Amino acid sequence: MKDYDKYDHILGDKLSGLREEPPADMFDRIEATLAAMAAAEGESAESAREEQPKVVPLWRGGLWRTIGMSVAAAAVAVAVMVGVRLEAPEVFAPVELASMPHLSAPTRLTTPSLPTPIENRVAAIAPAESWLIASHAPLTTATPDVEVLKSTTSEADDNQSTLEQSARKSRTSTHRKSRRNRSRQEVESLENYWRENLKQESSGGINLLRPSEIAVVATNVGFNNSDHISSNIAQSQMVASERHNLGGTYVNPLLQSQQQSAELKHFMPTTFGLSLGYTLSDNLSIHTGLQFTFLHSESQTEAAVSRYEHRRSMDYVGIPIGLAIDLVEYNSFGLYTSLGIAADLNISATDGFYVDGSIVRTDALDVPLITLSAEALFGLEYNFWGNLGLYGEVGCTYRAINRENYPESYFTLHPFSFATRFGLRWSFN
Amino acid sequence: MTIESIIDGLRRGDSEARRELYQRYATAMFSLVRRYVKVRAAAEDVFHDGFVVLYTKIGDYRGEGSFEGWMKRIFVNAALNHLRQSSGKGFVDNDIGDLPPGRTGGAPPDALATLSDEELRRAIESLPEGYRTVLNLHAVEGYSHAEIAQMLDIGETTSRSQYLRAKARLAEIIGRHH
Repeated sequence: MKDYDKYDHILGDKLSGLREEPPADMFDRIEATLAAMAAAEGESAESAREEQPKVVPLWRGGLWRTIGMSVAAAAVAVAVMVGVRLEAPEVFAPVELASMPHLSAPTRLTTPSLPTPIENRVAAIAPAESWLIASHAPLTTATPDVEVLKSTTSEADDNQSTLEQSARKSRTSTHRKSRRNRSRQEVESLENYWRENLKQESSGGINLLRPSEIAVVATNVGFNNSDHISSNIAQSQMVASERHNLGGTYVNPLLQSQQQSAELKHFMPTTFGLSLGYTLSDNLSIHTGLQFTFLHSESQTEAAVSRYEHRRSMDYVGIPIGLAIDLVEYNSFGLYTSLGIAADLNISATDGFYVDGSIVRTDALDVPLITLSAEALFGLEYNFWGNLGLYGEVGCTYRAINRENYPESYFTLHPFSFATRFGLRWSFN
Repeated sequence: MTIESIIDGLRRGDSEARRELYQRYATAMFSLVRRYVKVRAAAEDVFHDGFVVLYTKIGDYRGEGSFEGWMKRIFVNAALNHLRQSSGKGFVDNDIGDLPPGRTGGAPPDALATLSDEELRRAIESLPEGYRTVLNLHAVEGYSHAEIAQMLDIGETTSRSQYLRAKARLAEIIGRHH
């Protein structure tokens, strides 16, 4: 054996032969430690048994429980949204239809007794124009009764006086004369229009403005081209009849020289979702839940007399389902791509017509109840609280839409379109 | 009691089995710990923790290999954990010394054989911690340098050099006394 091998052997023997006694009470210390550990373990097990029923993570309550809570929250949100959207505010105090006999039975305009400001102006019109009032009778078998009109516009007259005073400050006398001359021409053109273009119903009358519409017109009479009640009424009734006859876009002859017909401008829809994510594997998960889509279109026509707006809104609540593939995860952030389909249920579809910001009519649209779509999205998710996170997705979507059955909207013009979504997601596995 | 009956008693939580085992192996295990841990008070704590682990983890012993070897590994690991926590750095000592392999330097092996236990203990305690650890693991416990490298998270070459330097230093200390 070489020296170093012998040295190692001796060293090993010498070191392993070293002996040193532990403290005499060491065993008791060890036993005390073991007893304390046993007692602590028993207490923690008992407290865990007592506390366990109180600590139940949400996802252990079951998938259906989570879905139910999400649906309940969505139902509340939809109820609030629908309740706010469909109410059209009254501009003026409503007038009982019973007090408007001309709406049910035609009346003829009689020689007025004119104590009110409007009636004074009517009485002051030139004789050449006064025949126009009486001439309305053969043209229309249902015209507003002056007495009735007076009762509905007395309040508006006050407004009109105020408006006229402020408007008069900005008008020159020359301008006022040209307006008066223009109004006579316009009245004649309206007469011709009525004779040639307006439909006559079997009952002998054309559709009249509703009381609120008359009140709106009376309020705005100060900004109209004419101070004559006849032209104001004619203009208003023409607008009402054209809306009725021509539907979504109308051509106001009074404005024809000033403005082209207004086409709807369609805005890209916004979708907000409450999503559930179920993890299938390290990289795969399923997303579903509820999504809310708000579709909005509008047109606006600015005229010398008023601003006319047409607003179309269609709202959907849908159920998407998709397969998500995780791409990158960093801290609480995650990037993923998603492929899926969705079924959207239409819950609201209306056309609203506004004059100077005040709604004058709301029409319900005939829209198919369910719309199917397929989508491919790229998403970013951020878990800010446990399994709860925010997500944002962009991508493309294709909607199966039959344009013949749909009113014009972003969906009909862009069945294959860019899509954006955002919302809250609860992930579990 | 046979060792098998002691082991069975330990699994049942029998305090008499614990006492019997302690009486048989306490001195050997404490001496093992003292070879690694320089300070006695710290060595008592490591020794105490080693037995607690031994009694509570008796279920992990499946009968593969000797029970004594399994028990020694528990105390060696306890000592190494203590050294790792107390030093805060690795087991590598940067004491530079160029000694060719195989050279023991200093005193001949016979001088080592005549060294008393107390002198040897003092000589071991005077070694740097890293030298002492590798020396005990290789010379006494019989671990290979590859195993030591894995246990201490050092390179195998480092383990060899540390062992050679430990022996050289020990020989130098012995030589000064003789």
